[in-house]
Amino acid sequence: MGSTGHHHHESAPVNLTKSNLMFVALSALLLGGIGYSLRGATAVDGLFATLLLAPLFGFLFNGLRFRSPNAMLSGTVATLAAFVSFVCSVLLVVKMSGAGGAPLSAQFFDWMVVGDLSVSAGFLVDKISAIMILVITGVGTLIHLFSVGYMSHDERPSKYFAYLNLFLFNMLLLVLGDNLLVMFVGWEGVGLCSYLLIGFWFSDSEKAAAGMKAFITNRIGDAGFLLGIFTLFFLFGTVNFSEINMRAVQFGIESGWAGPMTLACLFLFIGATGKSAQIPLYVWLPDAMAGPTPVSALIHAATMVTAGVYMIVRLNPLFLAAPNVLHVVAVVGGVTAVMAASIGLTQWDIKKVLAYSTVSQLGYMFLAAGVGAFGAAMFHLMTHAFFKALMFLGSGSVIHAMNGEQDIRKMGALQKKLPITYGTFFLGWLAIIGMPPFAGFFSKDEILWLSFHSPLGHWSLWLLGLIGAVMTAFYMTRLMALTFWGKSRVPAGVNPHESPLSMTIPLMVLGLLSVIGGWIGIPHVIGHALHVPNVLEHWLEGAIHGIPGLQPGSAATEIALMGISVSLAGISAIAAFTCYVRRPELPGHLAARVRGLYDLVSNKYFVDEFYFGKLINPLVEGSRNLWAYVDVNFIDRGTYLVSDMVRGVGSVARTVQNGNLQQYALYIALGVAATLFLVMR
Amino acid sequence: MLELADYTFYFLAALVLISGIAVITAQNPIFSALWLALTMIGVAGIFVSLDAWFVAGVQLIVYAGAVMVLFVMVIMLFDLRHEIHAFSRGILSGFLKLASAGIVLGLIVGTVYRSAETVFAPPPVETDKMADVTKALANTLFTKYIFSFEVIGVLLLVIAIGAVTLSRIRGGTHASHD
Amino acid sequence: MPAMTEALLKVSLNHYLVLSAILFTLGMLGVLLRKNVIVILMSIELMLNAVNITFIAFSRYSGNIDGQVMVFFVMTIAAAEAAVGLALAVLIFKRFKEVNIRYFEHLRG
Repeated sequence: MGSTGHHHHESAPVNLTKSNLMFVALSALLLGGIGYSLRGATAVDGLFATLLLAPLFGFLFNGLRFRSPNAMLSGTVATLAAFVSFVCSVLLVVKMSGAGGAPLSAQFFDWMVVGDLSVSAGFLVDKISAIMILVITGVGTLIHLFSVGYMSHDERPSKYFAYLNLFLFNMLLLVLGDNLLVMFVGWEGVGLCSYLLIGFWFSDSEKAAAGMKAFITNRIGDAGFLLGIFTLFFLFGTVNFSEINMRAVQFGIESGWAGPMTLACLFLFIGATGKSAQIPLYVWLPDAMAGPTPVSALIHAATMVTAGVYMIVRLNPLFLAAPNVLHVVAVVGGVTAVMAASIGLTQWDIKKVLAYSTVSQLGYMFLAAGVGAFGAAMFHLMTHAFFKALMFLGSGSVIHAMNGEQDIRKMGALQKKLPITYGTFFLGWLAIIGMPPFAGFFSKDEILWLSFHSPLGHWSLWLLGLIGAVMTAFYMTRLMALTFWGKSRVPAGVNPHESPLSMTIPLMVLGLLSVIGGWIGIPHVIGHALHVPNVLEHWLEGAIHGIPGLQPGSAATEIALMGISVSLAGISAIAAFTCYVRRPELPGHLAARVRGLYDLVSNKYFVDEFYFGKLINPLVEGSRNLWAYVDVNFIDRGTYLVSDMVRGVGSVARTVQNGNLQQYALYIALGVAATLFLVMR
Repeated sequence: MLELADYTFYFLAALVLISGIAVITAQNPIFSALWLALTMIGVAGIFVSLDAWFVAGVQLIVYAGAVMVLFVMVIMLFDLRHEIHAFSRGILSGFLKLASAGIVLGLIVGTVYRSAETVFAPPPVETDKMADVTKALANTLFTKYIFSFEVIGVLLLVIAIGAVTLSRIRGGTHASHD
Repeated sequence: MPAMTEALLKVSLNHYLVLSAILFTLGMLGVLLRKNVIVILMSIELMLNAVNITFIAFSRYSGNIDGQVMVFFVMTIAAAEAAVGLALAVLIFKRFKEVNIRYFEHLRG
C-alpha cells in the first residue's frame, strides 16, 4: 500500500513536468504566431489570428497528449482556449461597432491563385458573423466548461477536448471566411469533427455507425455545396462573398427555374439541408445523439447545424435574386418544422426528443430565411443556440445523474433531486415553447409574423409554423412532465444527484441568456409601448437586405397573431401537462385510438427504411451488378491485357537492372555523355 | 604577362588534380582519405583565389575538418587493410566506364570552350574586405534563400535521425539467426 | 612567350571550368571503378567539390553572390550524404565484414 502511494507520488511530477514543457513549447509557438501576425500588422490582424489560433493551439496541446486521462488539465486548457477566443471575439465586435459597424477584415496570405481563380486566406467580421462568433465562442466556452465535469470519468478526455477545440477552430473558419472556399474548409472540418465526436465511443458499433451515417449524409449535401460554388464561380468568376453579393444585385431578380443563380442557390441549399438537417437529409441528426451530450449541445444544436442558415443569410442578396429558391427554402423549412415536431411527440429518449426539436427549430430558421426575413433567422439562430444548448446540457446533467439512462419512461419527479438542472431546464422550456418574455417568444413570433406578412410569405407557411409551435409546446411539456414532474419511475439502485458546479454554472448562465436573450429583438408593436428599440434589427441594418416590398403591417394583426400562437401553445402545454402528470393513463388510450397514425409517427415516418429500401440498397445492388458484369468482363480483361504486355516488355528490360550499383552509375554516365553530345551538336 | 595569381592557380590546380588522382588510385582507403583531405585544402585555396574567403573557411572547417574526420573514424572502425582488388573487375565494363568518363570530360571541356567566350578579367570586387563579402553572403542567405535554408535545416535533422536509426539496426532483413 | 600560348595560359573563367571538369571526371571514375564503398563516397565528395568550384567561379566572374549560397547548400547536402552513406557502410560492414559495393545488391527487395 505504502509503496504504491510512493510510486504514485514519484510518477506524478514527471508527468506534470512533461506536459508543462509541452505547454511552454506550444505557448511559445502560439505567441510566436501571434507575434508574427502582429509584427508590423494591425491589432485587428492579431485579434483574428489569436481568435483562430487559440482553439487550434488547444487542439494541438490536447491532441499531442491524447492518451492522457487527466480530464482536469485537458479541460482547463481547452476551456481557456475557447475563452481566449471569446475574449478576442468580444474585442473584435467592440472594435467593429466602435468603428461605425464597418466590417473588419484580415488577409493573411494568398491561398491559391490559378488562372482567374484567386482565393486568399481572408477573414471577415461583419454584423452577421459577429453574432455567430459571439454565440460560437461564448456558448462554446460554457459547453467546454460543462464538459470538464461531464467527461471527468471518461477514458480519453484529452482526445475529446482536442476534437472539441478542433471543432471550434473549424467553425470559426466557416463563419469568418470571407469567401466560399475558406467557408468550405471550415464546412468540411466541422463535418469531420462532428463525425469524430458522434463516434467518440466508437467501440460501440451502433455509435460508430451513427458517426458514419452523419458523415455520409453530409457528403451528399457537401457535393451540392461544391456544385453551388462551381456554379457561382462559373457565373461570377469569384468566390468572395461581398463580390458575389454585389454581382447578384447587379444581375437583378431571376424569375425562372433554370437560371444560373437559381441553380447555384438550389445547390447551396442542398448543402444547407445536409449540414442543417432539413428534409430530405435530416436523418443523420437524431442518430448523432450517440455522441457525448455536450457535443450534441455544441455541434448538433447551437453551432454547426446552423451553418446552413448562416450560409444563406451570408448570401442573402444572392438568394433574394432567386426568389423561387427562397420559396423552396421556406416550404422545406416549414414542412421540416412540422414533421420533426410530430416525430418529437412520440420519442422516449430524452436526447432524441431534443434532436427532433432541433431539426424542427432549424426548420423555423429556414422558414424565416425563405420568406426573406434573414434577420429573424439570425435572431432565432441566436436564441435557439441559448435555450437548446441549455436543454441539451440540462439533459446531459440528467443523464449524468441517472448513470447514463436516457429513457424518460425511467425518470420522473427529478425536480427535487436536481434543483438547479430543473430550474434552468424550466427556463429553457418556457423559452422554446414561446412564452413571453422568454427568448424563444420574440424570435419565433417574429418568424411567424413575417411568414404571414412578408410578400414572400403565405398564410399557409404561417399555419405550418403555428402547427409546429403547438406541437413544440406539447412535446416539450411532455418531456418536462416525464422527466421532472409526476411520479418517480427511477429504477432502484440509481440515486440521482445534482451535478458539480462546473456543470451547473454553464446551465445557469445559459438559463439567464434564455430569459433575456430575446430582449435585443423586441418587436415594434411591443417595443413601441414599452419604449425599447429593436436593437438587433438596428444592428443588422445594412448587413442584411430588407425584404423587398415589405409594407408596414397592421399592429392589430400582428398582436392578434401573437395572441393566437401564444394562447394555442399555452393550451397545448396545459394539455400535455394534463396528459402526462394528472392522468398518465390518457396518452396510452389516445395512442391506441389512432394506432396506425401513432406507429407511423413513432417510427419516424419510416424515412430511414425508405432510404434504405429505395435508395441505398438498390444503389448497392446496382453497383454490385455493374461490378459482376461490366467490371469483371470488360474492364478487368482490358487491364489484364495491358498488364501482360507490360510484363512481357519488362521481363526483357529487367536484365539491365541487376543490382550492380556501379553498372547503374555507368548508365548515368552514358546518359550524361549522350545528353552532352546532344547539347554540343 | 603571367602574374602571380596565374601561377598560384596552376599550383593549386596541380595540387587538386594530383591529390584527386591519388584519392581514386590509392589501394588503402586511409590514404585515399588523407589525399582527399589534401584535395579539399587545395579546393579551399581555389576558393580563396576567387575571393570567396568565407566559403573557403567553411570548406576547411566542415569538409577538411568534420567530414574527413568522419571518414577516417569509420575507416579506423573497420580496421581495413590493404586491398588486393581495389578496382571492380570486368574488361568490357571497365572499358566502357573509362570511355564514358573520357567522353564526358571531352564533351564538357568542348562545351566550355565552344559556348563561353573567354573571360579574362573578373569584375572588380566592389569591396575588397573579407567582412563585406561575408556580410553580403549572409544577407543573401538569410533573406532571399531563407526558405531553402530552413528546409535544409529540416533535411539535416531528418538525416541525423535517419543515420542514428540506421546505425541502431542489427543486421536488417538479412540478420543471421545464430 | 608567344602571344597565343600566353592567351591560353592566362587564367580565365574557362580554366576554372576545365579544372572542375577534370576533377568531376576523376570523381566519376572513382565511383565507377572502385569497389570500396567508402572510397566511392569520397569520390562523390570529389564530384561535389568540382561542382562547388564552378559555382564559386561563376559567382566571382558574374559578380553575383548567389553562387556562394548554393555552395553552402551543396556542402550541407554533401555532409548529409556522407553521414547516411557511412551509416550504410557500417551496416554492410557489420553484416559482411567487408565494405564492397557489390554487397549492396542484397538490398534489392
